[in-house]
Amino acid sequence: MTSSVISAARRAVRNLRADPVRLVNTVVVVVALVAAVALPLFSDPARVGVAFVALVYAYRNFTWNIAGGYCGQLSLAHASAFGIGAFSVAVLTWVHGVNPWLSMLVGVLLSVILGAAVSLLMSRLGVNAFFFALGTLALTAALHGVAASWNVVGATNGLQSTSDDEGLLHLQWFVDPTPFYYLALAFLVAVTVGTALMLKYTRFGRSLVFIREDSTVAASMGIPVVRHQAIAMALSMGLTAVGGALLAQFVQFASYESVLTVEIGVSMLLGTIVGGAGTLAGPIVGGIGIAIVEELLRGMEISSSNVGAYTQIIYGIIVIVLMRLGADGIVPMWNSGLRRLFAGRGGAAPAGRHRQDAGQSGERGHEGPARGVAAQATEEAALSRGRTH
Amino acid sequence: MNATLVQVTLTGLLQGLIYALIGLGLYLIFNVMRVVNFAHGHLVLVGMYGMLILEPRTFGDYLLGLVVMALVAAAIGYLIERFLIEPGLARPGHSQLVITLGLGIVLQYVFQVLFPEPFESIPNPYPWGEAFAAFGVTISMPRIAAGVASLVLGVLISILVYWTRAGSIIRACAESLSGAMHVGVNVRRTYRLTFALGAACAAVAGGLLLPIQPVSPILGLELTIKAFVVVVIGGSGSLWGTAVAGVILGVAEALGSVYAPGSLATSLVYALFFLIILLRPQGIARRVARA
Repeated sequence: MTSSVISAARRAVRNLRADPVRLVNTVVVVVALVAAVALPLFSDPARVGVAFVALVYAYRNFTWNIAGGYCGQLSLAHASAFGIGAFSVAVLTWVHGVNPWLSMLVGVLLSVILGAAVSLLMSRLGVNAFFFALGTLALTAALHGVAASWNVVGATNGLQSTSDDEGLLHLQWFVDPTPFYYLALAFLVAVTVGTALMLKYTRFGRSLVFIREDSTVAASMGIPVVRHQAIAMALSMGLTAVGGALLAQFVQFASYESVLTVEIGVSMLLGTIVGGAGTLAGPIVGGIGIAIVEELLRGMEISSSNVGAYTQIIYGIIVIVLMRLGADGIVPMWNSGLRRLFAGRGGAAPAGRHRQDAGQSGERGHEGPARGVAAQATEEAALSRGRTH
Repeated sequence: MNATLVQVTLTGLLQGLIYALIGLGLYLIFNVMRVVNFAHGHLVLVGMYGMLILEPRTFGDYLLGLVVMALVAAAIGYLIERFLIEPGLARPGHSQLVITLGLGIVLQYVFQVLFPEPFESIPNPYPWGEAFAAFGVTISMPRIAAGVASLVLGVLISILVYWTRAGSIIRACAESLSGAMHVGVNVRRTYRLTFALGAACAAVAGGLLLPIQPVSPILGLELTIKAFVVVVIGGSGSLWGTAVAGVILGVAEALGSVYAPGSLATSLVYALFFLIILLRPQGIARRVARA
């Protein structure tokens, strides 16, 4: 038993030595984790609160990434799940006194059902990514409208927490947000590890990338595409609801304008793509990046109402530039940069594979300028690593 | 049928004609290029805010303003297609989706920063009085004029698409890209001009909408959704399906607002839309062989 653990560890170390890119990334992840755990020890509560919000951004981007990044379902319905999670604790806990963890669970279940339903409904329209995005956008807009005029969820006034209870059981701390911070960190780490394991060891997890790359081929390989898409959306949106519940408990306020807007959905989509969709680290980098940009802007002389606006403008422009250049986001670019750096030392990239996209490449092939070298390298890097880093 | 219901239906019909014009722009772009422009609603906002800046005082100024906004939006559409959409068409994936969505968000927040005053509008620019009243039904003049103008423009675009050489080139690209290329169609130019035309539709609709509906940056995404709803309900068969779907959307929304408060009425319309997807994913219009 012990010897097998040691030999596994030895193998891991040997693998790291053989692959310098993986070594660098491992060091980065370890340093980031240590820094994240140590952060509250060296910061005042206000800063920890900001860090908590950054983790919630990272968390909700990460959950979006499960369906949006890995399975290619560019969904804007996740904002609905975020809102449902927030409103679940708002309505059940704040108004009716139910335990917040139970309320959170209710929000998760509702979001799971909604995710599966919207995925199955949109599959009626075919696999067109544009229609999927627009349909899910319409869903979020519809729920936004309902929340704005439904008294149970506070209509235009919103709901406020009135409970005085404090502690883990009541998911509420008043003075110091450090427990919130560690809770969010724990959720983020758990969902990251869980997703990594799922992608590697389950049939469902491995099928997601195939569905994204070519759903027709995936179906011909015997993957139940529609069912797996529905499961991916259900899982992804269910987890998003947890983020909404956490944020609502932290802010102690939820209204249709603060937790259920199409802009939240767009921010999840753009943030993840800027970080690197379909990678584990990408959505986290994108989410924390949004929080950092917001903080930097707050430091400048900009009215507080415009901070969010400028952040969105900056992210929008970054996304346009990235997409225009055919690049894949910060994390894949970082990986391909490292790979090129170590290329001279035996870390040669494997042979390239051209991505085919159903219904697009066949028709659009005529224009055919070769893909950018950077994009190609990124893709090779991502594919060779099974898109797990 | 009482007068209120007639009034609401007529109002919805006129509003629906504007939706049809906005949807027509999205439909043209989608059918020809298989690209949904997520910034389409924000191009409507370009028309609205542009009109707000021009601040027309007379009817002549207003008409001139519409023409100017059409040209400006066409130029913007041309540039978007040329520099943002076209390079991505050859690549796999859906970069156009993310690019236009990002562009829409950028426009939305730029408008929010530039025009902090919410819900601005312009006074009635039409010289024929404030409202039309008969049989107990009163409808404001800008609404009638905007509806009629949208209808006329819609008919003009149909004529362009179905009865001119440029239109047959557009339809050729929509029907079969490889076929169009084989017979020597300049596909790139067609794409750019189609995108410019679609953008101009959106901006003119925005100009027509402004005297009726105060402008706000959040309208952008909402109008994109409505245009999309119109395109899906209309089906991919013909322009007429899109026009009919626009009217249905407008009337449904107006009738909904009688029985439910404003935001809920729109939600009801979207719920209706999901029902239609479930029952008739191919749209209400029958698929016709010629696109």
